Amino acid sequence: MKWRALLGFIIVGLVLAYFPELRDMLGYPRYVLTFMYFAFFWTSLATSWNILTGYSGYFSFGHGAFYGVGVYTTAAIVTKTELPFLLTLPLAGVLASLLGLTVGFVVFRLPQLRGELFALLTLAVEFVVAAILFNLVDGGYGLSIGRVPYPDFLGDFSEMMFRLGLLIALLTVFAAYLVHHSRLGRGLFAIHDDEAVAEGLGVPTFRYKMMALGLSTFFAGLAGGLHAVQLSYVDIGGVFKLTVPLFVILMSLLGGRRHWLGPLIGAVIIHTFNDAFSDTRFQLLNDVATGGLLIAIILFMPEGIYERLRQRLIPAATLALLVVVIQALAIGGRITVQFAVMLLFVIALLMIPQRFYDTVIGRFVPSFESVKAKIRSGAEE
Amino acid sequence: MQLFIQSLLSGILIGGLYGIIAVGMTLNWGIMRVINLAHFSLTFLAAYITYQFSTVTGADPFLSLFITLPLFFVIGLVMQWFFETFQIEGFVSLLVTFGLFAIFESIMREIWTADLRTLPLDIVPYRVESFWIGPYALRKPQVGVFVAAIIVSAATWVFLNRTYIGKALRAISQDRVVAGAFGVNHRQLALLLGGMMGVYAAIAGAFIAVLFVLRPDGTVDFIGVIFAVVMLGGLGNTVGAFGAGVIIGVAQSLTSATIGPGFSPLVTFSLLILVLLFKPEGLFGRSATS
Amino acid sequence: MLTCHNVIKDFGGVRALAGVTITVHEGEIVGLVGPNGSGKSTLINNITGLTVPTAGGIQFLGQEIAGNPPHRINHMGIARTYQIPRPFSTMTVRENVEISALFGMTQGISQKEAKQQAIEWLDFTGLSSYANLPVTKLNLHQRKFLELSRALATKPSLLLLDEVMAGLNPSEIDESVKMIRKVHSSGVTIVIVEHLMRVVTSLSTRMVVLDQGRVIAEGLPETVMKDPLVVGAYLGKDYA
Repeated sequence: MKWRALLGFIIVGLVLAYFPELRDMLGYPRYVLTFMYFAFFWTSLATSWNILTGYSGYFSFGHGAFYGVGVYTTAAIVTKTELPFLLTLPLAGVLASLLGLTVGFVVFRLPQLRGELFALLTLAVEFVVAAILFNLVDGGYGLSIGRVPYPDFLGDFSEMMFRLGLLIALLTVFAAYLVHHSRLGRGLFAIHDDEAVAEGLGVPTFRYKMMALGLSTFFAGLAGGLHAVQLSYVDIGGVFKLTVPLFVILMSLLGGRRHWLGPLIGAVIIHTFNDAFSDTRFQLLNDVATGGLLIAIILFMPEGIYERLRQRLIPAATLALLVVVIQALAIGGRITVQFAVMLLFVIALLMIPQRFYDTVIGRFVPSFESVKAKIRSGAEE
Repeated sequence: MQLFIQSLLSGILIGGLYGIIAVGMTLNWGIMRVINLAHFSLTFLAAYITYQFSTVTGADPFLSLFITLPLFFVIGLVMQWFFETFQIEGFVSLLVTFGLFAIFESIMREIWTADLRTLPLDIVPYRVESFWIGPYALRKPQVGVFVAAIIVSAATWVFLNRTYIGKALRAISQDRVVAGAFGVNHRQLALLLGGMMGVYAAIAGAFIAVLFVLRPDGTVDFIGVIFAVVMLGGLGNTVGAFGAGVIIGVAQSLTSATIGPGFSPLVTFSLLILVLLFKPEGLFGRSATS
Repeated sequence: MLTCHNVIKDFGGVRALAGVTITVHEGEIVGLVGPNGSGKSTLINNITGLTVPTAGGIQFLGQEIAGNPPHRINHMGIARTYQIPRPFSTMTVRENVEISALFGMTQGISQKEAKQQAIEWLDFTGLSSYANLPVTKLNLHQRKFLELSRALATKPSLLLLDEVMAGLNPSEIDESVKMIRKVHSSGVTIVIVEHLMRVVTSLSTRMVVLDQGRVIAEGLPETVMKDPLVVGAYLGKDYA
C-alpha cells in the first residue's frame, strides 16, 4: 500500500517536473509556471498546517511564525554569507521545527491549553517571533535577496522555483499521506476526538502531538525558505501578515481537514481564485469573498469539499470537462482564469444541499461509490 | 528617572484605552462565549467614522458619538443576532469572526484607502496639549481616555452587579440552561449585550481617532495587546480588564522608553503567553463567570 | 496485584480521597461501592493516571504507577470504562476499537491485525453488526458495550468498570453481567463500581465500601452488607 503510494507520488512528481518543457511545446505563457509555483507553495503550507491541526484538532493560528522563521533563515543566510541557498532550505525547516518543538514542549503538557486558548497562544507566538526577528535580523529595513546561484539543470529562475516548489509540495503531501495512514495518524485522530480517552487507551499523546507539530513546522519552514527567494525582498510586515494563517486555515477548512488531500484541494482552489481576481479592481470583492467563504464553509459545509467531491465525483468531473471544452473552443482568455471558472462551476455543484442533490441529480447520475460497488460485485461473479 | 516616571504615567493613561476595548471583548467572551475578533474591526470602523465626521463637518470628533453610539449599538446587535441565530460560540466564533475581520478590513481599505489618516490639529487642538504636574506632562486626550475608561468599567460593573438585567447576564455566564429554566431570556439579553459591545467600540473608536494615526490594518496592533489584557484581567471581569489594561500599558511604555519601541510588542505578547501558560484564569480571576 | 496505599486527593480545598488503602488480588472481582461523591470515580481516575494523587502510593504488579502518564499505565495492563461513554465521535464503531487494539498492551501489532482483533472484540460484545456504523448511531446500552470492547481490546490484566450498568434496562443488565463473568473467567481481574446493589453483591468476590473519601468497610458481600456503618452511610437511602 505504502510502496504503491510512493510510486504514485514519484510518477506524479516526474510528470509534473517535466511540465516546464511541455509548456514550451504547448505554447502556454510563462506566468503559468509562477502560478503553479504559488499553488505548490500554498499546498505545502496548508498541508503542513493540517498535519497538526486537521489530524489532532489542535487549532494553530500561528503557522505564519514557522513559515516566517523559514523565510528569514534563508533570507538572512543568503544575504549575509556565501552559503548556497539550496543548503539553507533544510536548515530553514529544521529551525522552524525546533521553534515548534520548543513551543510544543511547554504547551502540550498543559491540558487546559486546548481549543481557543491554544489558538490564541500560537497567534501570540507568531507576534513574538516577528518582534524578535524585527529586532535581531531585520532592523526595520527588510532584507534584499536578489539573484541566487543554483545548479543549471533546474532551468531558468521560474522553472527552478517551479521544480523546487513541486518537490517541497510533494514531500509535504507525501508526509501527510504517510501520517494519515500510520499509527501516528490513527493516534492523532483519537486525540482529535477525545484526548483523555485516547491517552487512557494507550496512545502516547504528548509524544504524538510533538511529532505532529515537529513535522508540521518543519515543512512550513521548508516552504518558507524557498519562498524567501521567490519574494526576493522580505520584511517583517509582509512575511508575518495575518493572511498566511488566514489562508492556510481557509484552504484546509475548504478542502477538508480529515483527509490528506483536503488542504491540497483547498489550496489550489483559493490560490486560483485569488490569482484570477487579483486585478486591483476586484480587490474588495476578492477579500470579501475570501472572508465570506470562510464563514460560509464553517456554517454550511464544515466537513469540507473533499467529502462532497468523493460522493459527487462523476458529475463533478463531467461538469469540469464540459466547462473546459466550452471555454477552450468558444471563449478563450487566460488559462488560469479558465481554470478558476471551471472550479467555480464544480464548487457550485458541490454546494448543492444533499437533499436537493439526491432528488434531482442523484437520480440520473450514479454515485462513484455505487459504480465502484457494481464493478466489485461484477468481478466477484 | 524623569523619563521613567513620564513613561509610567503615559503608560497608565493609555492603559485606559486598552481597558475600554477589552471590556467589550471580555464580556462577549465571558458571558456569550463569543471570541469576537470583529470587535477590533468595529472599533476601527468607529474611529474612521469619527474621523470622517470631523473632517467633513469640522466639528469636534466627540460630537460624532451622537451618531456612532446609536449606530454601533445597532451594528453590534445585528452581529450578535447573527451569532445567536447560527449558534456561533467558542472556537467556531474565533474562525467566523476571523472571516468578518478580513471583510471589515477590506471594506475600510476600500473606503479610506491604505493611506495614513490623522485628524488635523485645527479640529483637535487639544491633541497636543497637556496637563502639567511639575515636570511631567499628561496629554489631554490620554487623560480623557483614562477617565472614560474608569467611567465605562465602573458603569459596567454596577450594571452587572446591581441591576436585574446585569444579574441575569451573569447567571447566563454561569449556567445557560439553569438560567433559562429560571426564566432568563437568553436571546434578548444576548442582543442587548451585542449592542453594548457596539457602544464600547464606538467610545474606544472616538479616542483612537484622536490619539492615533489611522490605517486599515491598524487593528493588528491591538489584537495581541487586547487579548493579553483580557486574559490577564480574567474572562468576563470588567474591572480586571481595566486593571490589566493599565499593567500592559505601563509594560509597553516602559519597554519603549528603556529598550526601544521595537521591543514593545515582544513584551506584550510574551506577557500574553506567560498568562496563558501559568495563569489562564487571569490575575484578577473571573468575576462574571465564576 | 494492585495496592493503593493511603491515597489522598485534594481538589482545591476539597478532600476527595482522605487516605484510601485498598488491595486487589489477582483473579478477584472487587465491587467498589459508596454513595454519590464518596470518591469512587476519583479513585479510578487516580489509578489510571488521569489525575495524580496529592499523597500516597499506588503499586501495580510491584511497580509504583502514581504519577505515570495514563498511556504507560494502560500499557502495564490497566484499562477502564467511563461512566458516561466517551466514544471517538468521528470514527466508526470498529475504528474505535481498533485504536485501543493498536495502542494497548500488545504494542507493535500491524493495523491489519488491529482491525482483525477489533472485529473479534465486537463479536465478543455482540456489536459486530454495527462495526461499520458511525458511533453516533449507537444507543446508550450499545455505547456502554463499546466502552467495554475498547477497554478489553487493550488486553488489560486489570479492568476498572465505572458504572457500566447505570441506565440500562433489566435484560440489558443481565446481558452485561454475563459478559463481565465471561471476561473474568478469561483471566482478567475486575474492579467494578456500581450503584445497583443486586448486581454488585452477586458479581463480586469481595466488596469495598467508600464514604467521604474513606474505606469504611470491606470483605465478603454478605458480611459487608450487614455492617452497621455501611447501612448507616449508604444502604438506608440508596438500596436498589
